[in-house]
Amino acid sequence: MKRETENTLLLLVGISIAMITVTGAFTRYVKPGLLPVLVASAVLLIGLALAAIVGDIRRGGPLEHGDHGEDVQGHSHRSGMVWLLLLPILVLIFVTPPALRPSAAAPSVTAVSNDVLNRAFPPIPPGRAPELSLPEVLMRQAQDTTDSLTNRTITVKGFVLNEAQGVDLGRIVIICCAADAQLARIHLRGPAAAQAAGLADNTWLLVEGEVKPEPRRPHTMVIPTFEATAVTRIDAPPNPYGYPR
Amino acid sequence: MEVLVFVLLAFAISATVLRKAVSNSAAFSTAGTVFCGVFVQAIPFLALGVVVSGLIAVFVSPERLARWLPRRPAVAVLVGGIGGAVLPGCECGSVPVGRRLFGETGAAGAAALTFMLAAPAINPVVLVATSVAFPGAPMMVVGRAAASLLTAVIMGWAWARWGRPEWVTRRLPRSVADTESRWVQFAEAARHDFLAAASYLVLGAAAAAALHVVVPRWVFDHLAAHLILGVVVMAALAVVLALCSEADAFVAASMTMVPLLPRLVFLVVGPAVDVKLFAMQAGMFGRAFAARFAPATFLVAIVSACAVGLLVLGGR
Repeated sequence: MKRETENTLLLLVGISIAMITVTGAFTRYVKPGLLPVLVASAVLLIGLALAAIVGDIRRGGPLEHGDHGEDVQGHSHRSGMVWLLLLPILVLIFVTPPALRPSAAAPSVTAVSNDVLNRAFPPIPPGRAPELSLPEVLMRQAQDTTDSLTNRTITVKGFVLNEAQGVDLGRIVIICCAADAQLARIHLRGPAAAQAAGLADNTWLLVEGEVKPEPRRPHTMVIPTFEATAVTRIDAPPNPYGYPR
Repeated sequence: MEVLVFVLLAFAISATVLRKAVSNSAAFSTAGTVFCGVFVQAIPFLALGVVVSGLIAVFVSPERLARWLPRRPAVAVLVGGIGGAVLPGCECGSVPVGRRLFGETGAAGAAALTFMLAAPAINPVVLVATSVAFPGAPMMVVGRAAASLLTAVIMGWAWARWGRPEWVTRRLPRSVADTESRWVQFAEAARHDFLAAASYLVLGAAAAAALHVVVPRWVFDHLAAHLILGVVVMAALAVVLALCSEADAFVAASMTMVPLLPRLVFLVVGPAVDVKLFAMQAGMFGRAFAARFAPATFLVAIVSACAVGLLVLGGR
């Protein structure tokens, strides 16, 4: 592969990272906290590519390397592989795959944990019905030694999952990137659950209610039940994932 | 160059059609999203890695490194392993750094490989993430650091004893003439290492994405509480899922139906060997090297994780 083509590919990788960062599409793939380092990497890659391109032009030709024999061999070895970089460029710029859907997330979830993980959680914020993220509800239910969820009205955001036994409220949780996505879910029951029952899958809801207290059982998967008192339909949030912290 | 322009134009024209096709197929959109997830999240760590490897290319010649390290290889390997604690990042960045340290002749080869294996697992960022993920089990952090360091050191000693430099077929480009400024030397090394590592990262990310779609659900549902089966399944999952070493602790913490020992195996195997690391090692060191090094690392990592785990966790 020619050196100019390599430089162009490097420049394009930098530009594609910059593009998904600027448009916000990167939150479909990684956690939002990576924003500053993604900007820094895009700047670095574009900088390296421009430095090589500008340097070659000023020198009037590709950089001379110390020893030609080995260098030529080294290049012919990997010249084909560098074309692979075209794949992420094309996928990120032109296809930009959508955020994960519930069917794609691994079902194992922070539902119940070994007793060694139990700890005291910080108190739930004050207010009539403070909003907690769905993964936090599951973690408090499973691991909180202070039982902060008991007799406490909270608000939870999520999408509808119609199951045979009734409606579930779901949320896709990612820790670092889309590869570790998991599906968090809670059963919707109680007086207001009927309002959610007729809705299509993936309708977004804001649900108010209480988590039904349940005894903790180690080494078993228990999906907690949410006694809903009010259900509000909302638009899908711009960033569909939930984060454990 | 002409080919590149042509491909870009073709994709630009067909972008809407492609986008629709991908979002209509569940398997394609999942694979695409996981691919982007693995690739995008590795890029910052790879960028950090090539900056470090560029600096090594300028300031640390293999001869100088060999002078700094203790004369006896066995001790040098230990130093390399403990030195891994200073590179904060995950495994993608440590492969180019390890390759630079390895150098042309492999003078400090064993120590460089030990550093490459130890760095992603025992640096402070990863250990803090592990302790956050397992708040009630501080022994997981101790076990992870000890077992990963043990794996790295054993592999370093094994390389010093049995390793052959001729397995490393990929050569680094000769550093540019010394007459060039240090900045040019740095930029050239970083540019080369990024292109070489990132193109193999693409291969690894694609493999991880495909396996994500293929690995059947019941593997997760039936991750048995059986100890030995759990160890084998979790070790295989660590290779297949190719998670970042800063995230794997949280995934392991969420696999609540598995005892702690198999989860420790997951945390030790993952940063040392997985599909994307195998691809990147093949790209930067050569296929003959990766085909021997990766399976050996896999076995050593399982054995040392089990040994350390039985010691500190007692088979929980």
